[in-house]
Amino acid sequence: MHLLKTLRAVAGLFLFAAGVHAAEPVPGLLAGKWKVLPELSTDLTPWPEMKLSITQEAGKVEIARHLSWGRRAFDESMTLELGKSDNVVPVKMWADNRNLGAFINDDLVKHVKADLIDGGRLLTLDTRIMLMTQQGEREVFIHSQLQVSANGKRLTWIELRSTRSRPILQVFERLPE
Amino acid sequence: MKQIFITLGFLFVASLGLAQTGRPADHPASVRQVAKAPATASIVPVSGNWEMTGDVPRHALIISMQGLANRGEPRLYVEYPKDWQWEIVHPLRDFLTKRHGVKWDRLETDDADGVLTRFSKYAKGYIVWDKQVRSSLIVAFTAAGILDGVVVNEDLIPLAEKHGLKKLADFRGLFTGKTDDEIYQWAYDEYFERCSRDFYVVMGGEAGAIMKPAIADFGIQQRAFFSDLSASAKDPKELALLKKIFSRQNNASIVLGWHSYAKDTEGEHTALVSNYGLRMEGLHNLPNVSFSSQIPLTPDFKFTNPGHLKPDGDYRPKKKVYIAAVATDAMGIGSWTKPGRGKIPYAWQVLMNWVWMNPPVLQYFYEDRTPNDYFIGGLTGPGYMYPKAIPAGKFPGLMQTAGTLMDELDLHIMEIMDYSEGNRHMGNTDLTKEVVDAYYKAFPKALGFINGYGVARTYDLRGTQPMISYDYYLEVKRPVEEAAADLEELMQLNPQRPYFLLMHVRELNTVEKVNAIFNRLSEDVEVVPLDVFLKMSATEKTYRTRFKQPTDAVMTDENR
Repeated sequence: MHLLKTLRAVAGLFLFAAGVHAAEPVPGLLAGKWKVLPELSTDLTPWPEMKLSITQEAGKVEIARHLSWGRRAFDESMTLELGKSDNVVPVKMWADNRNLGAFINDDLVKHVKADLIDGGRLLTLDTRIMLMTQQGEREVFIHSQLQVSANGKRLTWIELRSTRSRPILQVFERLPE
Repeated sequence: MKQIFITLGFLFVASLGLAQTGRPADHPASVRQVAKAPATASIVPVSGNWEMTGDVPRHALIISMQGLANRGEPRLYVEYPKDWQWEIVHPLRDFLTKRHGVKWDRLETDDADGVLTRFSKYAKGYIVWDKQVRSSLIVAFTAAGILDGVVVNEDLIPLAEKHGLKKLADFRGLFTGKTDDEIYQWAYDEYFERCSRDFYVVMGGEAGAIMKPAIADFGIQQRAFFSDLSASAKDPKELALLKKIFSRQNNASIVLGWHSYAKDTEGEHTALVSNYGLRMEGLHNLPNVSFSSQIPLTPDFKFTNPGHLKPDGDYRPKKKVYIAAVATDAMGIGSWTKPGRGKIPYAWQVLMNWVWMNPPVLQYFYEDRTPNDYFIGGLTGPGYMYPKAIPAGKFPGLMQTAGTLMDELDLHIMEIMDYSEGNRHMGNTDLTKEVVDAYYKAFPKALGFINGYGVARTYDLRGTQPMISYDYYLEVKRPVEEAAADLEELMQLNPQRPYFLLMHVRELNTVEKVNAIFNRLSEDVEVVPLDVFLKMSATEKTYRTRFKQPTDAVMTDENR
């Protein structure tokens, strides 16, 4: 009887500890190399191919994007401090929709806040970017979430832009290391 | 009395010259029209197999024979497959019957024997290209025009000899193990001095196992030098030879064909052409020019492009979105022949040099237009060129030629495209203020200018002449719902009204698809003809003046 009470207490302590551990983000769930699956994704004209490389270390995440069409390729990356209210990220070109008459303004930066939640399975990005159009400058707000699947093999990137009436969905498969 | 006779004699001789050419100075002198289309001409269909180990040898023989047979008279027309990129082949055949009364004497598909039976008398012999060396066929095209020979590989020698043709040159084994710069240097040393200074052919496009050399008949007819030399800095030896060739061509002469898909980019090649003040006239697979260039317009026809502007019209825009749709490259290889044309206003860029290269085709388009079809000039000048790459000293003369072509074709808007520093993926396609100044100076009577192929951000307004860049490029594969969302987004990004949204439609998009996109939009938009669009945008300017800035990102050789 005494042993059972002790075991219950130990089990309870163990479960308590496990529960506390699950509330902390597990680093590295999004890390890896990913390739877009066009058949499941929003058309990303004029870039039929996209690859991501995500690395995570304590408190930081780096996302590198490689966009390509035949011989033409564009690379960009950003390193974000998690939880920091304003990561200032250099922007060479607003590559996300080259068929729109909207260009990065002369500041050539965007402002990003990044948070890792849900046990490290979901990265949220809140971005402010100033675009230039024929009529002048226009601030655009973008909310994104990058979510890894339960088995870790798929990454879903959903983007909502303040100026766009449809969400943009990119689904990636994990590439072998 | 003697002086009077000398003067009259001089005037008589001079008038003979005018009667023979009767052509504006911008038409190459070596391209001549017959007085009227032939009553009968031969027509030979060719298969859809364009593999080097398939039907290319037979097709090359037919096309080379065509170039020689059509010297002096249009005698042979090649009927390319219905899925050929240039969709005009079959409609033009029927148009020549309908409007010119041409009766076609039809041969069987790929009947090279039949072609030689009828036309071998126009050849002095044959040139053998090496089956193991693809580039030797391109050299053979040069030799064909200079030596007046048809091109064969060794399998077709018996056929050529059956028709009494003798060997004029044999390239078998000559180029084994050699690089293309070495091969074309040999050809340059051997033939270039006898080649045309008005035409050069870049026999590019598909590479490797495929070749579609439909332009070769015209190149042979004109005795042009052929190659597929690269314009890329990554191929320095080929580039050096190509520059030498371009430097030897006449000012403002024509580069026919298209860059090789395996070697360089459209931007690299056309920028180089522009650097020498030459004019690009594509593509490598443009068919039957040796035939159609000789066919005159019918006596009852005149190029008229009436437009939509009324002298007493009110073109003050309302507080709404105005959209104008433009299709470039679409006459002949695009949506002109597809269903839906005429339902909404559309502007079509005219290949202006076709006024002498392909007059009956242009007549066909002009007669086939609906009230909603409006023609504009382009691209950039008297042929496909990039204005930032044209030497400043050559610009005025080239644009004067362009102006003459626009007058002939009743065109009032110039479309400009510049891929010398970027394309619709990377870099920029904007114009410097100096280039914009030069256009306004060169075209004082134009309604206005449009810029880009992809989107750009060059805008200006001088007097009543606006310069507007494309704000949207509609890709062929862009789903309707996403394209509609793109236009909605542009309307959000540009909240001032009126908003002038110039839309470029990739040539294979149908008018029906474009219409479907417009029908999904939430805001009150008005699709207007381009001439009305420019008139309105000149009346109320809600776009900011902007030119290419020194700090704008450009594409360099390293990141091409």
